[in-house]
Amino acid sequence: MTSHKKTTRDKQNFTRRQFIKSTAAGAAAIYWIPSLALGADAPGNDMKSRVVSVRHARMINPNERINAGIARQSIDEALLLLTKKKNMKEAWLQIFPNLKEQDTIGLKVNCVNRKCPTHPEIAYGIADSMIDSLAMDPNNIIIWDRTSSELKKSGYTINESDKGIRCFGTVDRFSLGRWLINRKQDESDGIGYDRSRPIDVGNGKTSHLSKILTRMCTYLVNVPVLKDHGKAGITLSLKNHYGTIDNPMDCHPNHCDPFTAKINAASQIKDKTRLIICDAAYGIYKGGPLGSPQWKHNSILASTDPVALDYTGMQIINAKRKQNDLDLVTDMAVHVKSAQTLGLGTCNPGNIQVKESILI
Amino acid sequence: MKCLKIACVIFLGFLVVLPLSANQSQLERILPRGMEDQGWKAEDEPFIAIDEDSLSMIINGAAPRYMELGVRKAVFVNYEKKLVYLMLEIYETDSAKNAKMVFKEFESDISMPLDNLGTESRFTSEMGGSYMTEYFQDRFYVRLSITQKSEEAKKIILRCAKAISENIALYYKQ
Repeated sequence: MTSHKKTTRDKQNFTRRQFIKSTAAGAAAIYWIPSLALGADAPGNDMKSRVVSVRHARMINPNERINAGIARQSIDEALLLLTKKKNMKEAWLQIFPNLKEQDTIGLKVNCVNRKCPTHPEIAYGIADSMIDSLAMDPNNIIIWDRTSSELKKSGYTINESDKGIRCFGTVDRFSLGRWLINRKQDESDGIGYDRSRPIDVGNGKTSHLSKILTRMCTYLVNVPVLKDHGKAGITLSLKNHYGTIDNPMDCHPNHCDPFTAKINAASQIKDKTRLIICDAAYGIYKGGPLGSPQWKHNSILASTDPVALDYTGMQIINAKRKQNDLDLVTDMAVHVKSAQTLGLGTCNPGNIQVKESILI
Repeated sequence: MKCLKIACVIFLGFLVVLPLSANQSQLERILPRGMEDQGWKAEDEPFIAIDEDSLSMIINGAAPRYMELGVRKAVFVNYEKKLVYLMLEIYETDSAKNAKMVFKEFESDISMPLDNLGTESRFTSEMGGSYMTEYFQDRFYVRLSITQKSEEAKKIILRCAKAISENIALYYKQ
Protein backbone atom coordinates (compact mmCIF):
# COMPACT_ATOMS: atom_id res chain seq x y z
CA MET A 1 0.00 0.00 0.00
CA THR A 2 0.95 3.58 -0.47
CA SER A 3 2.66 5.26 2.40
CA HIS A 4 3.31 8.94 2.39
CA LYS A 5 6.78 10.32 2.14
CA LYS A 6 7.27 13.75 3.55
CA THR A 7 9.01 16.21 1.33
CA THR A 8 11.92 18.19 2.71
CA ARG A 9 11.00 21.10 4.87
CA ASP A 10 14.02 23.24 4.29
CA LYS A 11 12.48 25.46 1.65
CA GLN A 12 10.56 27.66 4.01
CA ASN A 13 9.03 30.69 2.36
CA PHE A 14 10.78 30.05 -0.91
CA THR A 15 9.99 32.44 -3.68
CA ARG A 16 8.16 31.85 -6.92
CA ARG A 17 11.46 32.13 -8.84
CA GLN A 18 13.09 29.54 -6.59
CA PHE A 19 10.03 27.34 -7.02
CA ILE A 20 10.21 27.37 -10.80
CA LYS A 21 13.89 26.57 -10.60
CA SER A 22 13.09 23.62 -8.42
CA THR A 23 10.87 21.94 -11.00
CA ALA A 24 12.41 19.19 -13.09
CA ALA A 25 13.40 21.20 -16.11
CA GLY A 26 13.12 24.57 -14.47
CA ALA A 27 10.29 25.61 -16.71
CA ALA A 28 6.60 26.11 -16.28
CA ALA A 29 4.30 26.88 -19.16
CA ILE A 30 1.36 28.95 -18.05
CA TYR A 31 -1.51 29.85 -20.30
CA TRP A 32 -5.16 30.74 -20.27
CA ILE A 33 -7.69 28.15 -21.27
CA PRO A 34 -8.90 29.46 -24.66
CA SER A 35 -12.63 29.33 -23.95
CA LEU A 36 -12.13 31.52 -20.93
CA ALA A 37 -9.31 33.63 -22.25
CA LEU A 38 -10.22 36.98 -20.80
CA GLY A 39 -6.74 38.38 -20.59
CA ALA A 40 -4.31 37.84 -17.80
CA ASP A 41 -5.12 39.98 -14.82
CA ALA A 42 -7.38 42.19 -16.87
CA PRO A 43 -9.34 44.77 -14.87
CA GLY A 44 -12.44 43.21 -13.43
CA ASN A 45 -11.10 39.66 -13.40
CA ASP A 46 -10.59 39.80 -9.65
CA MET A 47 -14.37 39.71 -9.37
CA LYS A 48 -14.43 36.29 -11.02
CA SER A 49 -14.01 33.04 -9.20
CA ARG A 50 -10.59 31.70 -9.98
CA VAL A 51 -9.91 28.02 -10.55
CA VAL A 52 -6.36 26.88 -11.21
CA SER A 53 -5.20 23.61 -12.67
CA VAL A 54 -1.59 22.51 -12.33
CA ARG A 55 -0.51 19.54 -14.38
CA HIS A 56 2.73 17.59 -14.29
CA ALA A 57 3.31 14.69 -16.67
CA ARG A 58 5.27 12.82 -14.00
CA MET A 59 2.82 13.26 -11.13
CA ILE A 60 2.24 9.51 -11.30
CA ASN A 61 5.29 7.26 -11.00
CA PRO A 62 5.84 4.25 -13.30
CA ASN A 63 4.67 2.08 -10.38
CA GLU A 64 1.35 3.98 -10.58
CA ARG A 65 1.81 5.65 -7.20
CA ILE A 66 1.82 9.41 -6.75
CA ASN A 67 5.19 11.14 -6.88
CA ALA A 68 5.17 12.97 -3.52
CA GLY A 69 7.78 15.57 -4.55
CA ILE A 70 5.94 16.52 -7.73
CA ALA A 71 2.60 16.54 -5.92
CA ARG A 72 4.05 19.03 -3.44
CA GLN A 73 5.49 21.21 -6.20
CA SER A 74 2.12 21.18 -7.97
CA ILE A 75 0.27 22.13 -4.78
CA ASP A 76 2.61 25.06 -4.17
CA GLU A 77 2.32 26.20 -7.77
CA ALA A 78 -1.48 26.01 -7.53
CA LEU A 79 -1.46 28.17 -4.41
CA LEU A 80 0.83 30.77 -5.97
CA LEU A 81 -1.34 30.98 -9.07
CA LEU A 82 -4.56 31.09 -7.10
CA THR A 83 -3.46 33.84 -4.74
CA LYS A 84 -1.19 35.68 -7.20
CA LYS A 85 1.39 35.91 -4.41
CA LYS A 86 5.14 35.70 -4.81
CA ASN A 87 5.94 33.22 -2.05
CA MET A 88 4.25 30.45 -0.20
CA LYS A 89 3.96 32.23 3.13
CA GLU A 90 2.08 35.11 1.54
CA ALA A 91 -0.06 32.66 -0.41
CA TRP A 92 -1.14 30.71 2.66
CA LEU A 93 -1.69 33.91 4.64
CA GLN A 94 -4.05 35.09 1.93
CA ILE A 95 -6.03 31.86 2.41
CA PHE A 96 -5.89 32.10 6.22
CA PRO A 97 -5.49 35.84 6.94
CA ASN A 98 -6.42 35.62 10.60
CA LEU A 99 -4.62 32.41 11.44
CA LYS A 100 -3.64 32.18 15.09
CA GLU A 101 -1.10 29.90 16.69
CA GLN A 102 -3.76 27.79 18.39
CA ASP A 103 -5.95 27.41 15.28
CA THR A 104 -6.47 23.96 13.82
CA ILE A 105 -6.83 23.35 10.09
CA GLY A 106 -8.73 20.28 8.94
CA LEU A 107 -8.15 18.59 5.59
CA LYS A 108 -11.33 16.73 4.60
CA VAL A 109 -10.15 13.99 2.29
CA ASN A 110 -12.24 11.39 0.44
CA CYS A 111 -11.44 7.73 1.07
CA VAL A 112 -14.78 6.13 0.23
CA ASN A 113 -13.06 4.43 -2.71
CA ARG A 114 -9.72 3.01 -1.66
CA LYS A 115 -8.76 2.43 -5.29
CA CYS A 116 -9.08 6.13 -6.06
CA PRO A 117 -8.96 8.12 -2.83
CA THR A 118 -7.48 11.49 -2.03
CA HIS A 119 -3.92 10.25 -2.21
CA PRO A 120 -1.90 10.56 1.01
CA GLU A 121 0.97 12.12 -0.96
CA ILE A 122 -1.35 15.00 -1.87
CA ALA A 123 -3.00 15.44 1.55
CA TYR A 124 0.35 15.31 3.36
CA GLY A 125 1.79 17.56 0.63
CA ILE A 126 -0.77 20.23 1.50
CA ALA A 127 -0.09 19.78 5.21
CA ASP A 128 3.67 20.00 4.70
CA SER A 129 3.27 23.11 2.58
CA MET A 130 1.36 24.81 5.42
CA ILE A 131 3.84 23.63 8.04
CA ASP A 132 6.85 24.79 6.01
CA SER A 133 5.37 28.12 5.00
CA LEU A 134 3.56 29.14 8.15
CA ALA A 135 5.78 27.40 10.73
CA MET A 136 2.64 25.67 11.98
CA ASP A 137 2.69 23.03 14.66
CA PRO A 138 2.00 19.83 12.65
CA ASN A 139 -0.34 18.70 15.41
CA ASN A 140 -2.62 21.63 14.51
CA ILE A 141 -3.44 19.92 11.23
CA ILE A 142 -6.01 17.12 11.10
CA ILE A 143 -6.46 14.94 8.01
CA TRP A 144 -9.88 13.39 8.42
CA ASP A 145 -12.73 11.54 6.78
CA ARG A 146 -15.77 9.55 7.89
CA THR A 147 -13.97 6.42 9.14
CA SER A 148 -10.46 5.65 10.36
CA SER A 149 -10.79 2.27 8.69
CA GLU A 150 -11.20 3.86 5.23
CA LEU A 151 -8.33 6.27 5.85
CA LYS A 152 -6.05 3.39 6.78
CA LYS A 153 -7.04 1.34 3.75
CA SER A 154 -6.24 4.34 1.53
CA GLY A 155 -2.68 4.48 2.85
CA TYR A 156 -2.99 7.01 5.69
CA THR A 157 -1.37 6.48 9.06
CA ILE A 158 -3.84 6.97 11.86
CA ASN A 159 -2.41 9.40 14.41
CA GLU A 160 -4.43 10.60 17.38
CA SER A 161 -1.38 11.54 19.42
CA ASP A 162 -0.22 15.01 20.40
CA LYS A 163 2.76 14.84 18.03
CA GLY A 164 2.81 15.17 14.25
CA ILE A 165 0.01 15.64 11.76
CA ARG A 166 -3.14 14.11 13.19
CA CYS A 167 -5.21 11.74 11.09
CA PHE A 168 -8.40 9.92 12.06
CA GLY A 169 -12.03 9.36 11.13
CA THR A 170 -15.24 10.59 12.71
CA VAL A 171 -15.98 6.96 13.55
CA ASP A 172 -13.70 3.97 13.52
CA ARG A 173 -15.68 1.85 11.06
CA PHE A 174 -19.20 1.03 9.97
CA SER A 175 -21.28 -1.40 11.95
CA LEU A 176 -24.03 -2.95 9.84
CA GLY A 177 -25.93 -4.25 12.86
CA ARG A 178 -26.04 -0.84 14.53
CA TRP A 179 -26.98 0.86 11.28
CA LEU A 180 -29.85 -1.54 10.57
CA ILE A 181 -31.31 -0.89 14.01
CA ASN A 182 -30.72 2.86 14.36
CA ARG A 183 -30.26 3.98 10.73
CA LYS A 184 -27.24 5.79 12.12
CA GLN A 185 -23.54 5.01 12.08
CA ASP A 186 -21.91 3.48 15.11
CA GLU A 187 -20.24 6.33 17.03
CA SER A 188 -19.18 4.40 20.09
CA ASP A 189 -15.55 4.15 19.02
CA GLY A 190 -14.80 7.55 17.52
CA ILE A 191 -15.18 11.31 17.86
CA GLY A 192 -18.74 11.03 16.55
CA TYR A 193 -21.25 13.56 15.28
CA ASP A 194 -22.35 16.80 16.85
CA ARG A 195 -25.85 16.03 18.11
CA SER A 196 -26.18 19.46 19.70
CA ARG A 197 -26.23 21.28 16.36
CA PRO A 198 -28.45 19.56 13.76
CA ILE A 199 -28.44 21.17 10.33
CA ASP A 200 -31.36 21.49 7.94
CA VAL A 201 -30.54 19.60 4.73
CA GLY A 202 -33.87 20.14 2.99
CA ASN A 203 -37.09 18.19 2.48
CA GLY A 204 -37.67 18.14 6.23
CA LYS A 205 -34.49 16.20 6.92
CA THR A 206 -31.70 17.04 9.31
CA SER A 207 -28.12 15.86 9.55
CA HIS A 208 -25.39 16.10 12.14
CA LEU A 209 -21.87 17.17 11.25
CA SER A 210 -18.68 15.46 12.35
CA LYS A 211 -17.38 16.80 15.63
CA ILE A 212 -13.97 16.93 13.99
CA LEU A 213 -15.32 19.82 11.95
CA THR A 214 -17.56 21.48 14.52
CA ARG A 215 -15.38 21.13 17.63
CA MET A 216 -11.81 20.58 16.52
CA CYS A 217 -11.22 22.58 13.32
CA THR A 218 -11.01 26.34 13.04
CA TYR A 219 -10.69 26.19 9.25
CA LEU A 220 -11.22 23.60 6.58
CA VAL A 221 -9.43 22.66 3.38
CA ASN A 222 -11.65 20.43 1.25
CA VAL A 223 -9.57 17.83 -0.65
CA PRO A 224 -11.89 15.85 -2.97
CA VAL A 225 -11.14 13.51 -5.88
CA LEU A 226 -12.06 13.86 -9.57
CA LYS A 227 -14.91 11.33 -10.01
CA ASP A 228 -18.31 10.99 -11.59
CA HIS A 229 -21.27 9.82 -9.50
CA GLY A 230 -24.18 7.57 -10.44
CA LYS A 231 -26.74 9.80 -8.77
CA ALA A 232 -25.24 13.28 -8.50
CA GLY A 233 -23.39 13.30 -11.82
CA ILE A 234 -20.14 14.34 -10.16
CA THR A 235 -18.64 14.00 -6.71
CA LEU A 236 -16.13 16.76 -6.16
CA SER A 237 -15.95 19.37 -3.40
CA LEU A 238 -19.66 19.86 -2.65
CA LYS A 239 -20.48 16.15 -2.54
CA ASN A 240 -17.35 15.42 -0.47
CA HIS A 241 -19.32 16.53 2.62
CA TYR A 242 -21.43 13.39 2.47
CA GLY A 243 -18.46 12.09 4.42
CA THR A 244 -18.98 14.86 6.98
CA ILE A 245 -22.60 14.04 7.92
CA ASP A 246 -24.07 11.14 9.87
CA ASN A 247 -26.81 10.14 7.41
CA PRO A 248 -25.47 10.26 3.82
CA MET A 249 -27.89 7.48 2.83
CA ASP A 250 -30.87 9.77 3.52
CA CYS A 251 -29.49 12.42 1.20
CA HIS A 252 -29.25 10.56 -2.11
CA PRO A 253 -32.79 10.96 -3.55
CA ASN A 254 -33.43 13.34 -6.45
CA HIS A 255 -29.81 13.47 -7.62
CA CYS A 256 -28.78 14.40 -4.06
CA ASP A 257 -30.65 17.70 -4.40
CA PRO A 258 -31.29 19.90 -2.42
CA PHE A 259 -29.28 17.99 0.18
CA THR A 260 -25.76 18.55 -1.16
CA ALA A 261 -26.20 22.31 -1.51
CA LYS A 262 -27.94 22.66 1.84
CA ILE A 263 -25.21 20.70 3.65
CA ASN A 264 -22.60 23.04 2.15
CA ALA A 265 -24.67 26.07 3.17
CA ALA A 266 -24.42 25.07 6.83
CA SER A 267 -22.40 27.80 8.55
CA GLN A 268 -19.94 25.29 10.03
CA ILE A 269 -18.96 24.25 6.50
CA LYS A 270 -19.49 27.48 4.58
CA ASP A 271 -17.69 29.73 7.04
CA LYS A 272 -14.81 27.38 7.83
CA THR A 273 -13.96 26.33 4.26
CA ARG A 274 -11.11 28.48 2.95
CA LEU A 275 -9.74 26.39 0.13
CA ILE A 276 -10.48 23.45 -2.13
CA ILE A 277 -7.63 21.41 -3.56
CA CYS A 278 -8.90 18.60 -5.78
CA ASP A 279 -6.75 15.52 -6.25
CA ALA A 280 -7.04 15.09 -10.02
CA ALA A 281 -3.97 12.90 -10.41
CA TYR A 282 -6.29 10.16 -11.60
CA GLY A 283 -9.92 10.42 -12.60
CA ILE A 284 -13.07 8.32 -12.88
CA TYR A 285 -15.55 9.33 -15.57
CA LYS A 286 -17.82 6.26 -15.69
CA GLY A 287 -19.38 4.12 -12.96
CA GLY A 288 -18.08 6.33 -10.13
CA PRO A 289 -17.63 7.00 -7.34
CA LEU A 290 -16.24 3.47 -6.97
CA GLY A 291 -13.91 1.44 -9.12
CA SER A 292 -10.35 1.91 -10.17
CA PRO A 293 -8.97 5.06 -11.82
CA GLN A 294 -9.84 5.32 -15.52
CA TRP A 295 -7.34 7.87 -16.71
CA LYS A 296 -4.31 9.78 -15.58
CA HIS A 297 -5.13 13.47 -15.41
CA ASN A 298 -1.86 14.29 -13.60
CA SER A 299 -3.33 17.45 -12.09
CA ILE A 300 -4.20 19.42 -9.01
CA LEU A 301 -7.21 21.77 -9.16
CA ALA A 302 -7.55 24.58 -6.64
CA SER A 303 -10.06 27.30 -5.87
CA THR A 304 -11.67 29.15 -3.02
CA ASP A 305 -15.06 28.74 -4.73
CA PRO A 306 -16.42 25.19 -4.39
CA VAL A 307 -19.11 25.72 -7.01
CA ALA A 308 -16.66 27.06 -9.60
CA LEU A 309 -14.25 24.21 -8.89
CA ASP A 310 -17.02 21.63 -9.24
CA TYR A 311 -18.22 23.22 -12.47
CA THR A 312 -14.67 23.12 -13.85
CA GLY A 313 -14.19 19.52 -12.74
CA MET A 314 -17.48 18.61 -14.37
CA GLN A 315 -16.21 19.95 -17.71
CA ILE A 316 -13.17 17.66 -17.42
CA ILE A 317 -15.38 14.63 -16.68
CA ASN A 318 -17.78 15.58 -19.47
CA ALA A 319 -14.91 15.82 -21.94
CA LYS A 320 -13.83 12.26 -21.07
CA ARG A 321 -17.41 11.01 -21.34
CA LYS A 322 -17.80 12.67 -24.72
CA GLN A 323 -14.62 11.00 -25.95
CA ASN A 324 -16.14 7.67 -24.88
CA ASP A 325 -19.62 8.27 -26.36
CA LEU A 326 -21.31 8.61 -22.98
CA ASP A 327 -24.02 11.09 -21.97
CA LEU A 328 -22.80 14.23 -20.25
CA VAL A 329 -23.37 14.41 -16.50
CA THR A 330 -24.50 18.07 -16.49
CA ASP A 331 -28.22 17.32 -16.22
CA MET A 332 -27.66 15.00 -13.27
CA ALA A 333 -25.45 17.42 -11.37
CA VAL A 334 -28.31 19.66 -10.29
CA HIS A 335 -26.65 20.26 -6.93
CA VAL A 336 -24.09 22.53 -8.58
CA LYS A 337 -26.78 24.98 -9.68
CA SER A 338 -28.56 24.68 -6.33
CA ALA A 339 -25.30 25.60 -4.60
CA GLN A 340 -25.04 28.69 -6.79
CA THR A 341 -28.62 29.60 -5.91
CA LEU A 342 -27.72 29.41 -2.22
CA GLY A 343 -24.84 31.81 -2.80
CA LEU A 344 -22.05 29.30 -2.30
CA GLY A 345 -20.25 30.24 -5.51
CA THR A 346 -20.75 30.44 -9.22
CA CYS A 347 -21.28 27.90 -11.98
CA ASN A 348 -21.67 30.59 -14.61
CA PRO A 349 -18.68 30.07 -16.93
CA GLY A 350 -18.61 33.80 -17.63
CA ASN A 351 -17.85 34.37 -13.97
CA ILE A 352 -15.15 31.72 -13.69
CA GLN A 353 -11.53 32.40 -14.55
CA VAL A 354 -9.65 29.17 -15.23
CA LYS A 355 -5.89 29.25 -15.28
CA GLU A 356 -3.80 26.25 -16.17
CA SER A 357 -0.13 25.70 -15.54
CA ILE A 358 1.83 22.84 -16.97
CA LEU A 359 4.97 21.98 -15.08
CA ILE A 360 7.63 20.22 -17.10
CA MET B 1 -52.40 -7.06 28.01
CA LYS B 2 -48.99 -5.43 28.38
CA CYS B 3 -47.31 -8.86 28.34
CA LEU B 4 -49.21 -9.76 25.17
CA LYS B 5 -47.98 -6.56 23.48
CA ILE B 6 -44.38 -7.32 24.47
CA ALA B 7 -44.72 -10.89 23.18
CA CYS B 8 -46.11 -9.56 19.87
CA VAL B 9 -43.19 -7.12 19.49
CA ILE B 10 -40.68 -9.90 20.16
CA PHE B 11 -42.45 -12.24 17.70
CA LEU B 12 -42.52 -9.55 14.99
CA GLY B 13 -38.87 -8.86 15.68
CA PHE B 14 -38.07 -12.51 15.01
CA LEU B 15 -40.06 -12.39 11.78
CA VAL B 16 -37.91 -9.49 10.60
CA VAL B 17 -34.56 -10.83 11.78
CA LEU B 18 -34.91 -14.49 10.76
CA PRO B 19 -35.15 -13.98 6.98
CA LEU B 20 -32.25 -11.51 7.18
CA SER B 21 -30.13 -14.10 8.98
CA ALA B 22 -31.06 -16.69 6.38
CA ASN B 23 -30.01 -14.32 3.57
CA GLN B 24 -26.76 -13.65 5.33
CA SER B 25 -25.85 -17.28 5.88
CA GLN B 26 -26.74 -18.25 2.30
CA LEU B 27 -24.51 -15.59 0.81
CA GLU B 28 -21.71 -16.06 3.31
CA ARG B 29 -21.34 -19.73 2.52
CA ILE B 30 -20.14 -18.78 -0.98
CA LEU B 31 -17.10 -17.04 0.50
CA PRO B 32 -13.76 -18.85 0.23
CA ARG B 33 -12.72 -20.82 3.27
CA GLY B 34 -9.38 -21.03 5.02
CA MET B 35 -8.25 -17.48 4.24
CA GLU B 36 -6.95 -17.04 7.79
CA ASP B 37 -4.82 -20.18 7.41
CA GLN B 38 -3.05 -18.44 4.52
CA GLY B 39 -2.35 -15.39 6.65
CA TRP B 40 -5.23 -13.21 5.44
CA LYS B 41 -7.06 -11.38 8.17
CA ALA B 42 -10.69 -10.37 7.58
CA GLU B 43 -10.98 -6.66 8.38
CA ASP B 44 -14.52 -7.08 9.64
CA GLU B 45 -17.46 -9.43 9.51
CA PRO B 46 -18.82 -9.87 5.96
CA PHE B 47 -21.10 -6.95 5.12
CA ILE B 48 -24.41 -8.07 3.64
CA ALA B 49 -26.36 -5.51 1.63
CA ILE B 50 -30.04 -6.33 1.33
CA ASP B 51 -31.45 -3.19 -0.29
CA GLU B 52 -30.35 0.05 -1.95
CA ASP B 53 -29.71 1.78 1.37
CA SER B 54 -27.38 -0.86 2.70
CA LEU B 55 -25.74 -1.28 -0.72
CA SER B 56 -25.11 2.47 -0.72
CA MET B 57 -23.21 2.06 2.55
CA ILE B 58 -20.54 0.19 0.60
CA ILE B 59 -20.72 1.24 -3.03
CA ASN B 60 -22.17 4.70 -2.48
CA GLY B 61 -23.67 6.42 -5.53
CA ALA B 62 -23.22 3.36 -7.75
CA ALA B 63 -25.91 1.45 -5.79
CA PRO B 64 -28.96 2.58 -7.81
CA ARG B 65 -27.41 1.36 -11.05
CA TYR B 66 -26.71 -2.07 -9.58
CA MET B 67 -30.32 -2.27 -8.35
CA GLU B 68 -31.55 -1.29 -11.83
CA LEU B 69 -29.51 -4.14 -13.25
CA GLY B 70 -31.29 -6.61 -10.98
CA VAL B 71 -28.97 -6.88 -7.98
CA ARG B 72 -30.96 -7.98 -4.93
CA LYS B 73 -28.31 -8.77 -2.33
CA ALA B 74 -24.57 -8.53 -2.05
CA VAL B 75 -21.83 -9.59 0.30
CA PHE B 76 -18.57 -7.74 0.80
CA VAL B 77 -15.54 -8.84 2.71
CA ASN B 78 -12.03 -7.45 2.80
CA TYR B 79 -8.89 -9.25 3.86
CA GLU B 80 -5.54 -7.75 4.74
CA LYS B 81 -2.09 -9.27 4.76
CA LYS B 82 1.01 -7.14 5.23
CA LEU B 83 -0.79 -4.00 3.99
CA VAL B 84 -2.03 -5.74 0.84
CA TYR B 85 -5.83 -5.70 0.63
CA LEU B 86 -7.91 -8.38 -1.04
CA MET B 87 -11.50 -7.26 -1.61
CA LEU B 88 -14.32 -9.65 -2.46
CA GLU B 89 -17.69 -8.49 -3.77
CA ILE B 90 -20.44 -10.97 -4.63
CA TYR B 91 -23.69 -9.63 -6.08
CA GLU B 92 -26.75 -11.87 -6.25
CA THR B 93 -29.19 -10.82 -8.96
CA ASP B 94 -32.63 -12.24 -9.72
CA SER B 95 -31.54 -14.20 -12.81
CA ALA B 96 -28.53 -15.46 -14.72
CA LYS B 97 -29.46 -13.00 -17.47
CA ASN B 98 -29.15 -10.08 -15.05
CA ALA B 99 -25.85 -11.38 -13.69
CA LYS B 100 -24.57 -11.29 -17.26
CA MET B 101 -25.92 -7.75 -17.67
CA VAL B 102 -24.00 -6.56 -14.62
CA PHE B 103 -20.87 -8.25 -15.97
CA LYS B 104 -21.30 -6.57 -19.36
CA GLU B 105 -22.00 -3.19 -17.74
CA PHE B 106 -18.43 -2.98 -16.47
CA GLU B 107 -16.65 -4.14 -19.62
CA SER B 108 -13.38 -2.39 -20.27
CA ASP B 109 -10.99 -2.26 -23.21
CA ILE B 110 -8.07 -3.02 -20.94
CA SER B 111 -9.51 -6.32 -19.63
CA MET B 112 -8.34 -9.75 -20.80
CA PRO B 113 -10.75 -12.69 -21.05
CA LEU B 114 -10.04 -15.64 -18.78
CA ASP B 115 -10.66 -19.33 -19.37
CA ASN B 116 -12.18 -21.81 -16.96
CA LEU B 117 -13.74 -19.38 -14.53
CA GLY B 118 -17.50 -18.92 -14.18
CA THR B 119 -19.68 -18.64 -17.26
CA GLU B 120 -17.60 -15.76 -18.57
CA SER B 121 -14.72 -13.99 -16.89
CA ARG B 122 -12.04 -11.36 -17.34
CA PHE B 123 -8.86 -10.07 -15.70
CA THR B 124 -7.85 -6.42 -15.48
CA SER B 125 -4.57 -4.83 -14.58
CA GLU B 126 -6.00 -1.62 -13.12
CA MET B 127 -4.48 1.84 -12.90
CA GLY B 128 -3.37 2.72 -9.42
CA GLY B 129 -1.58 -0.54 -8.69
CA SER B 130 -4.24 -3.24 -8.42
CA TYR B 131 -5.54 -6.33 -10.23
CA MET B 132 -9.19 -7.17 -10.64
CA THR B 133 -10.96 -10.37 -11.68
CA GLU B 134 -14.67 -10.48 -12.53
CA TYR B 135 -17.03 -13.18 -13.69
CA PHE B 136 -20.66 -14.19 -13.70
CA GLN B 137 -22.00 -17.59 -12.86
CA ASP B 138 -25.60 -18.66 -12.28
CA ARG B 139 -27.29 -15.52 -10.89
CA PHE B 140 -24.10 -14.14 -9.34
CA TYR B 141 -21.71 -11.45 -10.47
CA VAL B 142 -18.38 -11.72 -8.63
CA ARG B 143 -15.59 -9.15 -8.45
CA LEU B 144 -12.26 -9.52 -6.66
CA SER B 145 -9.51 -6.93 -6.37
CA ILE B 146 -6.05 -7.02 -4.87
CA THR B 147 -3.97 -3.92 -4.17
CA GLN B 148 -0.66 -5.25 -5.43
CA LYS B 149 0.69 -6.06 -8.86
CA SER B 150 2.85 -9.18 -8.73
CA GLU B 151 2.76 -12.78 -9.94
CA GLU B 152 1.92 -13.88 -6.41
CA ALA B 153 -1.00 -11.43 -6.27
CA LYS B 154 -2.31 -12.83 -9.57
CA LYS B 155 -2.21 -16.37 -8.19
CA ILE B 156 -4.00 -15.34 -4.99
CA ILE B 157 -6.83 -13.49 -6.71
CA LEU B 158 -7.41 -16.31 -9.22
CA ARG B 159 -7.31 -18.98 -6.50
CA CYS B 160 -9.94 -17.07 -4.50
CA ALA B 161 -12.09 -16.53 -7.59
CA LYS B 162 -12.05 -20.27 -8.28
CA ALA B 163 -12.96 -21.11 -4.69
CA ILE B 164 -16.00 -18.81 -4.87
CA SER B 165 -16.99 -20.30 -8.22
CA GLU B 166 -16.84 -23.81 -6.77
CA ASN B 167 -18.99 -22.74 -3.83
CA ILE B 168 -21.60 -21.22 -6.16
CA ALA B 169 -21.67 -24.47 -8.14
CA LEU B 170 -22.01 -26.45 -4.92
CA TYR B 171 -24.75 -24.42 -3.25
CA TYR B 172 -26.65 -23.00 -6.20
CA LYS B 173 -27.07 -25.81 -8.69
CA GLN B 174 -29.36 -24.64 -11.50
